[in-house]
Amino acid sequence: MRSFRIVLLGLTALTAFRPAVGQSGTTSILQPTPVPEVLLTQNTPVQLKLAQNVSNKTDTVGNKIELVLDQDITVNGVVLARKGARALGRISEGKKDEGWQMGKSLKFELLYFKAGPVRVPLTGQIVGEGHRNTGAVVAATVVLGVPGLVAALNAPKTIVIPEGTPLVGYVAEDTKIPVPTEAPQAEVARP
Amino acid sequence: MHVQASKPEVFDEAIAAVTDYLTTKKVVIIADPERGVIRTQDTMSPQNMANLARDATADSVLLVSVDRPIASWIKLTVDAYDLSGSRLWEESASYGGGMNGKSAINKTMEKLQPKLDVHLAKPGLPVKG
Repeated sequence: MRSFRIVLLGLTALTAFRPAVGQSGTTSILQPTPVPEVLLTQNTPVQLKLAQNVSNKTDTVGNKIELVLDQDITVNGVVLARKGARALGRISEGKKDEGWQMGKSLKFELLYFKAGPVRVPLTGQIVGEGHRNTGAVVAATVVLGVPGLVAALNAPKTIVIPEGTPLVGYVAEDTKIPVPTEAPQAEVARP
Repeated sequence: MHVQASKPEVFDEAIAAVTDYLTTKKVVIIADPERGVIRTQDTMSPQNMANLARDATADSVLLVSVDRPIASWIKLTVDAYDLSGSRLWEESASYGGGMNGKSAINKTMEKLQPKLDVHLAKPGLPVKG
């Protein structure tokens, strides 16, 4: 059975900013307060884990895939992104289209993780290892003889990287991240 | 055999039928800031779907699955989850009649719509206004 899914995000209450009654004619000029930033340096290792299954049976080249941080990202005691924050990758080798033909290999590249509003670019590639379905090879051989064996051995192997698989990526370039408001400001000044 | 002959276009039509219905009923759907509407053939745990909803400041997740089972032309399943990843409700409908699957999506939607109507303006199917 083939299955296809979409995920729709629902919002119960839409909130929009409206000026209070009697305030519509007033104008306030607010000076923005500079937000302290912390530098996350290139090549910092980032512990990740897959937030979905990835397979050469279902994933097409170019598909985005979901990951999450498996560890807080901390610089000088300041937590810049919490464990569970979102990260994204992209399939670079997999199915060529959404048809039935499974991909001969499975590879994805890491794109970025989210530290608050900032997308921190990641580098790293993950290659899936395939396994041969022995039962299918035997069945093809029994039914079709040697041609069946040859066809079964030439068929692409099923490759699945399960949800929860731990991975390591690296920060691709120096990135300044605003200190989250809940973080202690004193920590920023620490050398 | 119809399973082997199914095409991605069939899934696109089915998804369009469900989203059209939701739009007509003024169900509030917000786009994921990173990916818009997330379309996948992979499985994802409800907890991770809930994380996506939280990231988009949504408060529920609707998972629409299109299946091509052996015994029917098409099966549509709609699952609603809250932000803890708990399933709020599930509704499904399928159609296996007729000589071909031409009208399967419409027939399935006719069965599914009254089931979804029950959940309108309730958790999982928030509406505008």
